[in-house]
Amino acid sequence: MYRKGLMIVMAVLLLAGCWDERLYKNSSVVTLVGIEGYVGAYKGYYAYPTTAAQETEIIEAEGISPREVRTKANLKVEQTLDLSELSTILVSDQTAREPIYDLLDIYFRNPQNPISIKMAITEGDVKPFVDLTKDIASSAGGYYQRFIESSEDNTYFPKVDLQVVGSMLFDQTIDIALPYFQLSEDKKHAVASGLALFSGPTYTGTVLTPPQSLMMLLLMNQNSKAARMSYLWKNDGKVNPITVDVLKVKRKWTVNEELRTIDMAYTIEVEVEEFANDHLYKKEFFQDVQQMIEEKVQAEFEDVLRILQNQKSDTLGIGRHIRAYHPKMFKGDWHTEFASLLLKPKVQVKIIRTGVLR
Amino acid sequence: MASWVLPQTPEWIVVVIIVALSLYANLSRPETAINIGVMLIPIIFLFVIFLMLAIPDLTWSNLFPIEWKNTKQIGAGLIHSIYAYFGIEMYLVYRPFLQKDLQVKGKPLLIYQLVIFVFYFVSVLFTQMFFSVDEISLIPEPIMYILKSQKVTFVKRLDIFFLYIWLSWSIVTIMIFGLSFRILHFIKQKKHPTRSIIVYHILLAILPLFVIHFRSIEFIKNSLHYVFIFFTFLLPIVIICWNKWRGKSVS
Repeated sequence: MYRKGLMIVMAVLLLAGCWDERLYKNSSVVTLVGIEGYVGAYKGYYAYPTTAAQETEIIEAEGISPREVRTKANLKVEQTLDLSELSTILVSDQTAREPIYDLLDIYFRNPQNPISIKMAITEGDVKPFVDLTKDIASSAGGYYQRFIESSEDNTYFPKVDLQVVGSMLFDQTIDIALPYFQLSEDKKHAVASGLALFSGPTYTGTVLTPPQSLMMLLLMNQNSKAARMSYLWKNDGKVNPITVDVLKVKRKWTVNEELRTIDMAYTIEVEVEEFANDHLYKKEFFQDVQQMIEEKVQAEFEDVLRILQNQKSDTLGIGRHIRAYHPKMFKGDWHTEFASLLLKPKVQVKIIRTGVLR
Repeated sequence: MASWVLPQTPEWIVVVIIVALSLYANLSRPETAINIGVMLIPIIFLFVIFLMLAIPDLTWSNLFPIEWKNTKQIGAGLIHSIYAYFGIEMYLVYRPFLQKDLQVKGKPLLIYQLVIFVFYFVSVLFTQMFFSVDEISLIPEPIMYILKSQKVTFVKRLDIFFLYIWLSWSIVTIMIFGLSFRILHFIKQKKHPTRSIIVYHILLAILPLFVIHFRSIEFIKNSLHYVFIFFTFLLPIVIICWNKWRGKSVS
């Protein structure tokens, strides 16, 4: 008999879940957050769908910290903001000039906040980028998430989420590069404009263009589903465009500790996707085209490495490599050390496919 | 639990649920307490599979350089590794209940040790490779954090799965401790063994409520391995040596 009683008591106690029951119908489920300002004077924007009108509602609030901004935003909504379905965080470029972990602490500290979400930097104020989503039928955060994931597939953005960003911010040996958005000329669309380079926890103010971003990702050996490069090939006074897609990147870094140089050997296997001139089966054409691509990529690699070193932004994770395999060469102030290294890229391009035409 | 999934639920409710399960198992036949633990073994494989989802996010270079000269750090690591052997002293409690002619041979013992080793080793390696060096010190439950950061289609928060797996293991641990108390102490008291078990569980429900504070939990977590040194290594060695010596002197 006592067992039955015990079972009943236990079953009643199992209702403990009621204390922590959170229903979406009782919350304003935010999918996009925009943050701008600085410590002591932050401004936040929260986009959430309204159930009645099927539209995106945007709430704006100010506060001394990101958490206070959210607390104050709660005063302006009929139902408390719930960030458990958050997809994207947008941060203005001016705000990112200060250490960005200050903005992100609340997302890591609260287990209800997802950390497998996207993060991007906007040119100027965040507000117009958040306002753009008002007319979008799907979720506001989902729009930027899909935008970023699509660019990741095209090897313009690295595959990073909030967790990776947070992890890198605590790592002195690698820096982050975040998606950078601009407004189109008619101010009606967001445009993926490249990668915002960070040095440690702060944004450097330098943005790599999309082609430079692609080169940086190839240097990182992170080519995704597609990595297309287009060039003009000149032959007999005629100009022909050629587009190739990177299939595989092999890299080998050789460190000379005494000379403080790193030989960065890259072998890039590509497939021709566009070449109206055809006749790639002819050896002279094939070799000339291959060499032209090789020289272009070599020049672009050198250009990107120069920018990274000038900005003391080790997005390639050279510091990680040096700390792990050449610890004697690794020094505490890695960013200064990185800028003074001699990086010597050497690119070899191999056309291994030409599509279904030759 | 209060930090990860049940922030609003009163802590005493959670403690009472855990203790009530242990009480049920300990008021039943001894086999019940053991069998509940056995039933949960397949969950270990599930947990490992979930953990494998984090492999693409691991940074292998975090493991290097391996420093063999820093004996202080190696020593500190060794002391913490005692956690893996927590509970091994139960062998002394349950040995008399095994079949007299049963011998624990080398191979099964090796497999048992290897399973424990691999499980703990993978947990430590994954933590080391997933988080940057400066980050680990900020994360009190790294495995939970790794699972939380995984994006899967079938569930929003993978960490909650693990939390309940962890909870179930904790309940089994409490059950087995209760069973050990029952075998060692309460059974010998011929009068009111059931009442003793209930009193023990009431104490088990009340005492933790005084240490539900993150500083107390941190203190216990950072000092528990010293207690393990005594119970897991020193005490069993002394008992085994004592028995050997006594056995020899008798013969």
